[in-house]
Amino acid sequence: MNKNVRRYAMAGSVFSLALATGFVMQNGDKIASLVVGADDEAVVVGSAPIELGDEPKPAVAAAIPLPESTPMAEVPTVEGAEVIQLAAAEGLTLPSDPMSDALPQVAPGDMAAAVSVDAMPSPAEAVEGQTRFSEYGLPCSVEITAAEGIGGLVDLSLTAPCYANSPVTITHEALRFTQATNEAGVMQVSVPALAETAKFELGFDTGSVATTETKVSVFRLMSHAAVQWQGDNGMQIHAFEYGSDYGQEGHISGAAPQSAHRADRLAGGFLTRLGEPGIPGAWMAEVYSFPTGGMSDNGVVRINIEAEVSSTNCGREMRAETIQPNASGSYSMVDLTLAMPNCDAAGEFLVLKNILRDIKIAAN
Amino acid sequence: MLLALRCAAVSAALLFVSLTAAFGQDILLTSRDGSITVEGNLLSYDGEFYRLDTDYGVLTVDGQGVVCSGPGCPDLTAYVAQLRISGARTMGEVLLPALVEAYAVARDLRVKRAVSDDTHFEYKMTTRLDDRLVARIQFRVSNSDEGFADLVAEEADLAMTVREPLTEEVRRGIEAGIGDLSAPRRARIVALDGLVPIVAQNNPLRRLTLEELAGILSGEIADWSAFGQAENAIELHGQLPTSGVQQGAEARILAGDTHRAMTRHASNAELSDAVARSPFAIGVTSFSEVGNASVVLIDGPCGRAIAPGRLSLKAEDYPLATPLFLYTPARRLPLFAREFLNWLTSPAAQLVVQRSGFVNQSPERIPLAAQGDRLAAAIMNAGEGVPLPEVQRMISDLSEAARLTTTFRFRGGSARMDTQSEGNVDLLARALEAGVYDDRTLIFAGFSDGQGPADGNKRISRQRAEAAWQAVKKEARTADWSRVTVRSIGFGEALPMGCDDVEWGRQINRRVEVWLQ
Repeated sequence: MNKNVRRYAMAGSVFSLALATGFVMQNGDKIASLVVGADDEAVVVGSAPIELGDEPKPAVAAAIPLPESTPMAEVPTVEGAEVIQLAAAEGLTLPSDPMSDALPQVAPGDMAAAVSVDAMPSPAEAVEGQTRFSEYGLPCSVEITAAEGIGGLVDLSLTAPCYANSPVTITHEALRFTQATNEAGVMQVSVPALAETAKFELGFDTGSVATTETKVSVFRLMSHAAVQWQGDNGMQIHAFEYGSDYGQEGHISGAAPQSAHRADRLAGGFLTRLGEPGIPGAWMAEVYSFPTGGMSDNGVVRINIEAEVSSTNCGREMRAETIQPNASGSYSMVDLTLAMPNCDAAGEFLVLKNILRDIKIAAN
Repeated sequence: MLLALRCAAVSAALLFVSLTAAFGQDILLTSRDGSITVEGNLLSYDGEFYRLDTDYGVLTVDGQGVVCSGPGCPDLTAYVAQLRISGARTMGEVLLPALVEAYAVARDLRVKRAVSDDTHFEYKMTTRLDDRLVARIQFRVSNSDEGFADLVAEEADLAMTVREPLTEEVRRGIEAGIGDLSAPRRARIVALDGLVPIVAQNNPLRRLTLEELAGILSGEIADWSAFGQAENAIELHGQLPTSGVQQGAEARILAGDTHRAMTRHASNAELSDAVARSPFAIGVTSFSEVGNASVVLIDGPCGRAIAPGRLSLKAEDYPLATPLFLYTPARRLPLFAREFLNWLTSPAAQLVVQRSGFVNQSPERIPLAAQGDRLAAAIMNAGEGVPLPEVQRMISDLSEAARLTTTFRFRGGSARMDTQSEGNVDLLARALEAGVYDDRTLIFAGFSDGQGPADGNKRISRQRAEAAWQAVKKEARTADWSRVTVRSIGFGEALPMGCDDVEWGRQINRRVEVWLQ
């Protein structure tokens, strides 16, 4: 398992500089580990906050230099921030562009995950001349890990103590969905990878964006089909594996999503439902994933999109986006508009068999 | 010539157009080098051609060669191409939508699909930069009958069909003024498919002669005991009588309609799913939609079975190959539609065809070594008609060569090639023009069936080989013949593929293969 943790600083007008020469924030690590769930394997390599300004350095920012092999990166600064001389930053020049969002891109060869952040401060957190801490006393850093899970999933984990109970919109290739952090600013989600080098962009409602990526070794063995929409429109994917009918074991849907273990065992596919329906304007997605490359029987998985005709959507148009493989093997998105049947049909389901293409399994 | 003039009668007059100074007319077209101008009232603009009413009559001018000025010029950026596609479900469910979506990607356009139901939907293509609408493509998915009917009624611009038009449909087309649908090049083959008998995976049936299949379709064979299985009634599954696949199955396997009771389905997929569920079921579906069922090979009475597959469908060696057609009207389609049709033959489009589960038309090589069955058949067949030295000569002629899947077959007893072969003429001609076979030797190898005297068969097969070569040569106008060597040879009945004791076997045997050395 190759899991790397990156950290960068986020602050108000007193801006934490993420220095690429590298610092490990020792105390911060322990706290972060507690929050994330004490992942022993997490290797904390990366950039720790260096405080700018006149304030005394906080205890948590006890910084030690990393080995010299850690590459350099540009250092962002912010208008109005007072730049001080940093001993550790010898030879570093700070970019003059005040809006520079050039970020630490520390990427030693063995690292699967990398994080970069558009470190714009959250206005709500901005406290003039102060290091930023969350209400639990944790520094306002944002930490993301991305690691390959089973069944072609990527396990994403976010710790952002200053974004407690906040929506986060995750964009991966054409896929996007909105999750929420918990009261500790933690969010964990497993996302089907739609590219071999799976890149993720996490956008906060403040406009800040963090990115991470990881390699997915089984990407080429998996087939996915997805539908996504904004708000609440009740679209569902139903997959029927190897001739299964409604209610049978090979009928995969939100009511019987199965899990990635099923794909891992080459027993069939699974459905991932992404997004938090409670968040206003949230993007929601359903992704069906099937281990095409590992199956030993020829056959087909038929994939339907179903939408319940309700008194609120009848006679109207519903919008969504579909994502499925194109001829070059990557995934393409198509905007979809569904003309819902008129209101006599309320309570019935609109079944569309040909929007998402069937997955054909050619064994051997 | 920069100006493509569609009105020959006035082409001479045009030379003087630039000398006339007619004011008050609403557009002025100027050739890009400024040497020729045409003035007139704009009648229409289709995205490529201006039609304008001039002092010399109505002219059609290629918009690419001219610059338009004057108050009547169309807003070139506001032009939205429209394309209506109607017809067979086999093509309209997955294949054409996948091609349309891939074409949008190739042109870097954004695709929006508006769906009413599974059979009525529309694609809107917009520019990525400013979301400007460029084209609307409407789909109506029904069957081949409806496709031809919509084309004749001018309610469709392209008809998706799994069969060629019936005599009656050709007549109606001519009456409606859309031209002769049976004329060469009215149809484009988009992909190759085939009719295949299927059973459930737990049914032990693996091979079937066409005659036995006909017996099942007609009801003469009604019980599985006829195939050595336990006594159980055969459940026949089919499609609606309007389905082109159903019509094809009845016409080509049964040579007539069937009145036998069957469970009818609305699509290939539904038919395949139903058959896959019952060990006592059998049906004929498309090769592209076998689904979870198991394919039954078509066996010849002499024991030569031919499996449907990519190579056998490309080479039309499989007796029930069914090309999938797009028929066009006689009128000129908008530029967007013509560019889409041209793109369909590109390698990118052929890849989409393959990924969608259909067989594309890209030629493939089948080395001699991979044709052991055929050689064994040739040696078994050696004797009276074809003495062994003849077989040896043939093998020596074809050694170190690979057969291309490009094969030419002729309509029953006629000198005219079938539609797939006509398409192969174009494909091979284009490849020759592009220099694909430069510094190589192409052998047009003619073969006949085993009916009649061997000498006559050799002569006929040589004539067919020569005819196929001449047809290709005529189309490959810009090929450099100094770079490629071509031989045509007649081998007569030497290398049979099908069984000569049935007509469909003889039809498979009458062919011209192309070998590459």
